[in-house]
Amino acid sequence: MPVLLIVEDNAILANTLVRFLREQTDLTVAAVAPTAQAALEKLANLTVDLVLVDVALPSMNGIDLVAMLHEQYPELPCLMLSGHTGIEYVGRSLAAGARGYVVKSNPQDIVKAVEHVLAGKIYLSEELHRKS
Amino acid sequence: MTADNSLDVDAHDSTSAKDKHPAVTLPQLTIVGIGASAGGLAALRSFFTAIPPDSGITFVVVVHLSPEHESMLADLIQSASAISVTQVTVRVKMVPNHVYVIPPGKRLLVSDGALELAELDMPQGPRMQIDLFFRSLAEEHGDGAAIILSGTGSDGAVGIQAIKEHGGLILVQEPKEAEYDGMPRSAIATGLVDAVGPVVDLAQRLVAAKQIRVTYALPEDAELLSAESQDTLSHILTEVRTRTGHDFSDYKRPTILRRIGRRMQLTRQRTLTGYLHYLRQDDNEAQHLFHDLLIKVTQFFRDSEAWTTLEKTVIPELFANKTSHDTVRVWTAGCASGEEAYSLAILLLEQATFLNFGGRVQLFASDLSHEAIAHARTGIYPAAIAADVSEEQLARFFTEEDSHYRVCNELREVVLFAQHNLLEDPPFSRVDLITCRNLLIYLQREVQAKICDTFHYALRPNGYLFLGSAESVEGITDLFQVIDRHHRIYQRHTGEHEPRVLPAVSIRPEGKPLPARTQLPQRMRPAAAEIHQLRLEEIGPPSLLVDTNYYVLHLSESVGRYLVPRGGSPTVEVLQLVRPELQTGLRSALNRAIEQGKAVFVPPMLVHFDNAPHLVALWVRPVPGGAKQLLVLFMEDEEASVEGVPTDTDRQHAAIVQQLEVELLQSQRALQEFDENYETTLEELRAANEELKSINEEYRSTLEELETGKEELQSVNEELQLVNQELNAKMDELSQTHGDLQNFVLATNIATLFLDRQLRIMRFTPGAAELFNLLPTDQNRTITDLRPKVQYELLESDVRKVIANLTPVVREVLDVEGRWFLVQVRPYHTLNDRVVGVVITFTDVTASKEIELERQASEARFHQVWETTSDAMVLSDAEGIVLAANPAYFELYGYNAEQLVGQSFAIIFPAEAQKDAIEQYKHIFASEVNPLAPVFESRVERADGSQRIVETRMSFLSAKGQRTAMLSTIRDITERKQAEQARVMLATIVQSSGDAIVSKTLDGVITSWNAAAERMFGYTAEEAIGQSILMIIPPELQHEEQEILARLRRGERMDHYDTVRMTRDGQLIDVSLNISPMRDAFGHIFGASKIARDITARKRAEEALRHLNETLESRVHERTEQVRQLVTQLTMSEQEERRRISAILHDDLQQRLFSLNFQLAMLRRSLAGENGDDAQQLIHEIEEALDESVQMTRSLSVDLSPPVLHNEGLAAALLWLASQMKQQQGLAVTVQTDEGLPLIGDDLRVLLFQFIRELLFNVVKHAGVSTALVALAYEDAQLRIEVSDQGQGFDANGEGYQNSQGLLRITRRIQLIDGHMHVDSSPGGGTRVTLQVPLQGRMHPGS
Repeated sequence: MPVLLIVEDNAILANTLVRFLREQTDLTVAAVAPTAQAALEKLANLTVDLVLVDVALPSMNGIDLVAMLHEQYPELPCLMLSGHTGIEYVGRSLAAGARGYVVKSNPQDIVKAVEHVLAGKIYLSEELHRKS
Repeated sequence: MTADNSLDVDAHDSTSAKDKHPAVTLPQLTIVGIGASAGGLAALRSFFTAIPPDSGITFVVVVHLSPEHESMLADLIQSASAISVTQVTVRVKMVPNHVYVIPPGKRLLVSDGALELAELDMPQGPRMQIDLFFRSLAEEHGDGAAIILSGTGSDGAVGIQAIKEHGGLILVQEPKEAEYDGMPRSAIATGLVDAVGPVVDLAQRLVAAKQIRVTYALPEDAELLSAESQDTLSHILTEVRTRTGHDFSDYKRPTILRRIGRRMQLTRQRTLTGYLHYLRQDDNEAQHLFHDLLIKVTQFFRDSEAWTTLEKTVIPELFANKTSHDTVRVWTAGCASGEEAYSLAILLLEQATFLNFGGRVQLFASDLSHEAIAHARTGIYPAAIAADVSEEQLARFFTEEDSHYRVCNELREVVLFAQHNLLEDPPFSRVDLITCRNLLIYLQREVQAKICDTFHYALRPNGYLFLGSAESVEGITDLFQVIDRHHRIYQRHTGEHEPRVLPAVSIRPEGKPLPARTQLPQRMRPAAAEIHQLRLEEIGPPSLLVDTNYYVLHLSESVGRYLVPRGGSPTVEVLQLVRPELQTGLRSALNRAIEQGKAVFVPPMLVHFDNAPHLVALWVRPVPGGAKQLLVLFMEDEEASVEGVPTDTDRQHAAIVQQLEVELLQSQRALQEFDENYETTLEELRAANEELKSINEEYRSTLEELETGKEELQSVNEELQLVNQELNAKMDELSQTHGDLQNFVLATNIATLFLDRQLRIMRFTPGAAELFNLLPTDQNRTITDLRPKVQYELLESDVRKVIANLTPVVREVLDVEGRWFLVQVRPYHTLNDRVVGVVITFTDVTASKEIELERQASEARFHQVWETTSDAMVLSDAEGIVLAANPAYFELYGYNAEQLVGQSFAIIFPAEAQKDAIEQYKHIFASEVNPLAPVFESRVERADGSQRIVETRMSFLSAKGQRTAMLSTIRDITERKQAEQARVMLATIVQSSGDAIVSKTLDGVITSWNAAAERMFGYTAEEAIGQSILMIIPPELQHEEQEILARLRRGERMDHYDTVRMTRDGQLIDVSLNISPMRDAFGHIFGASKIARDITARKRAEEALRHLNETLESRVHERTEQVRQLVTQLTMSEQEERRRISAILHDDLQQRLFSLNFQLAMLRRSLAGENGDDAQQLIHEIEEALDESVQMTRSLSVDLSPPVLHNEGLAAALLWLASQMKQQQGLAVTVQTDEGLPLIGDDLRVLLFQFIRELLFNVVKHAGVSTALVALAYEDAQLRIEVSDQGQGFDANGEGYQNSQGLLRITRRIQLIDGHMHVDSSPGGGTRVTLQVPLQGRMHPGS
């Protein structure tokens, strides 16, 4: 059972997402960090298979967090979760080390993205494909 | 002429069949060179007119043409000639019956039968084209002819020698006919000319000579002549010998025949016999032939290589071992006209100079021809010798005279010229070097040998012989050894022991010219006297005839027995022939007879012969009639012989006799010894005598030359005496003139100085001596060395100027005593108009100078007054004609001198007033009374129409009590009049002014006080004037007055000096003062005027106004700032609001919607399988609706506030905007940004982004295009944004633009941030909107 860390500042969304993943998938959410700082602290004591990172975070944003994580835990895959569909965010995220970028819209899409990344593939939401 | 001339056979030969043999080369006359110069054209034309077209001759004309000009010569000759004439331009083959003319600037050469052009070597030097051409012609065609026509100079004179030498003919135009006789005379002077005559004659002679050539020729070899011709030739030579005294029978026959042939050609004789006949008939022909036979042409340093060798190898040897007591003796045999001799002398002198040789150099030059010797003695040669003689030699040894060179005295004195026959006359002796060039070749071989002997005799041991290039002594004699075979230099064998024997050259009696046509003595039959003598001899005593040398001339028949032949070679000497017993007696008898010239008897002597003693007496007597002959008679006494039979006494006698005989025999032996000694001595004496003869010959030559010199000197002396007489007469005249001049100079007392061209004093008068402190010894000193009393520094330059320009210089100078002198420097012309110096005269003009100076000063004063006075002055005569007027006059009336002077003064009046004016003028002029200074005041009109008021004074000029002119002095008083008016006006103004006007002195004392002052300060004028101004100044401001006065003194003026003053009743009033310094006519400040204005009320109002103004301004400022802040706040809050909404949309609403989506997903799962499809469907619809909401909110959020703008900066935001425009509006936007774009503050960045988005939306809405350009640039602290498209555009000034809300909004808002917008658009021409925003202080370090 793959273990996830979710970095999301919006508590409503975070709770919904945790519940959705627990009930409908065989993924385990080890913890939810509301900020980048909190995520780094959690990871010091946890072992996870994947980090799901919201792009817009207070204080340090998600892309910078991914860059740090990629430096500290090069083997740990990160998947970006964002309400923005701007292609520039996608590019910068992948450049920082993210393995996928999934747009907040369809829950099934998130599941699919997590599965792809865990399987070692790069995943981008279909909406992004449409755009570019 | 060389001996190896080619033979020439002519088919048309000869009138005599016997003489048909190889012919001597006669002048073929195929080519004729003609030299001419000045005046040559006319001569050439007449010459060629006389030449027939078929003469068979080629003519080449060489003249001196200016190299700068084209020559028409060929055309000019052609017009006079039947032969065709061409100017040579390129190498041209010569053909007969043609005339070739030299072109300008070139010289002509003959080469291979063609004419060639060559450059002139010395274009500036003496002209030598003719000489050069003739020389070249001679080398190629020696048998041609040269003709010299009119011309100056001597060109051609050398060239004809070459022609002549090669056997050509020389014809010269008669100098009297020639326009310029220089060239003809120079040619004639060479003595080589064959004919002289008018050109037409020359032409005819030339043609005739050519025809002779065609019909006749002589054989080359005299052996081939017929016996008859041989005989004739001998007769010709005999004729020459009898006429000239010179025998040419030893000369080579071919040479003689060739020369005779030439003469035959010229005398038009076709046979030798004919020529002999002509020779006998014509008195001069013998001389001509003689002359021709002697032709020897030489030139200076001819055959220069040989001369160089001579100079190097032989000349130094001549000086070796010579001391200053020795003489270098050299003999030039056959010197002709002297060139060779002078050449040699030049080398000798050069060597003597080089060695600093102290001894003498003596050169003998001999020639047979008297004319040649005479020519050589003059030592004058044509200018063309410059080609042969080096420049240094020319300069040292020659002097240039006209176009000739003359040898200098140094050279001339070294050479002794003598007429001398090498074959007959004794030679010179003890000579170091003999040169004999081109003489031997003309002589027969045997004669050559004889001459070699002569040379051998004449030379010292080791002496040198220098022969011509075709001559040699080898094979002729072995007396010389070869030094340089090629250059023909030989040396006499050293043998000192060899007998110096004078060769027997004199084989004929010395030739004395016989009178013309004297018959040779014929052999005659014996005369009766001779028969008589023979008979007498038969019966008379035996006798013999001897000459003074004791040689037997004749014997009588019976004399034989007294004679006895001796052993040894036969002799005719009588003393050797007679019996020994008779020898002594005969010798003494002969001696006495010769000495005393009378008969001598010798008593009988005992002679034994025929076995018997004989007593023989001798009688010797000179033959009467002056002949140096003696008759010796032998007389025998028969009886004495009988008596001589021996007796007794005879026996005694016999013993005595025997003893006597022994004594006699001893005496005889002694005598014989003495005789032998005598003979030896005699032989020696004879040798000495021969040497003396040589020396004598030398003396004879010297004497001859001295005599020639003496004659010249005598004639010169006579001339000199004549000249002397003339000079004496001139002298008397001169001393008279000199005396006159001396007196004249003293009388005029004009100091005069004569200087030569070097400024040396040549002569001076007493006056000049005084001025220049000259002493008689100062003559010849340079004037600039002296310290004159006169102050004349320019003297030297003046003198040089006068010498240079020849125009006199006149000056006035001052001396140290203050006297003035008029100096005149004039060129000194000699009588033949040469300027040799200057004459300087000093005339004392002190008196007149002082008057003049005074007059000048007076004139200057007058002139100054006249020129500078402001009063107009005019001088006019009785009729009113203006004589003169001064500048002020012209200025006053506006006329100039040309218009007025010489005209009536009245023209300055209007036309209608002129007549009156003149009449009035005349009236005044004529009035008896002299109004001392009549003054009129009148109004006049100037030329430009303006009016002036003038005041006129008149005075009169008189001469001899008669009025001659009127001087009118007119003063323009217009200004004065106007000033008077102005003063009145001013006073009125001052009095009526509302301001107080006061004046004061610089001490502060009031001098005027107007009505307003009375009112303002309460003092009346009477009270105030004379008081101090301090009375109206409040006590606490009294210091002001000091300051005001100080500034006034500095000339300053004070305007609006606001202060406080005090009235009479102590009330203070605010006043504004205008204080000005007052100046007198000289500009000196003497007081001040002061205008005071009461400004109390005005001051208060001003204060209030200023206060209001300041308040207002600060308020406006505050408001402006508020507005600005408001705008910024507005923008910022708008942004803030947008961001807030955006944040809500994104952070909250969106997240919620997203969560909802998750919940719906979970709901759908929980509903699955329970409530059927309806619920499922509904949920699906909700899901879709939610999805759309999420999309919408997302794009709304972004649009409201693009996150990139806040996070990234303007450039990135614009790129994002561009992608948005493309995606949403289909507009492709190109963004160009400068590299150095600074970071822009947050608020401004947002504002600018909105402007750009607004403008791009305008493009989408109005432009109708799918592309647009956004360009950002930063320059001069300004951000420049350009948004442009190629769309349909609009009228930027039209209403559409005015009504565009978007643009209006941007315009308004951009002004708030101090920027501005510019729209550039026209219908159909696209749109360009430019925004410019200052960035000063708006750049944030980051955002």
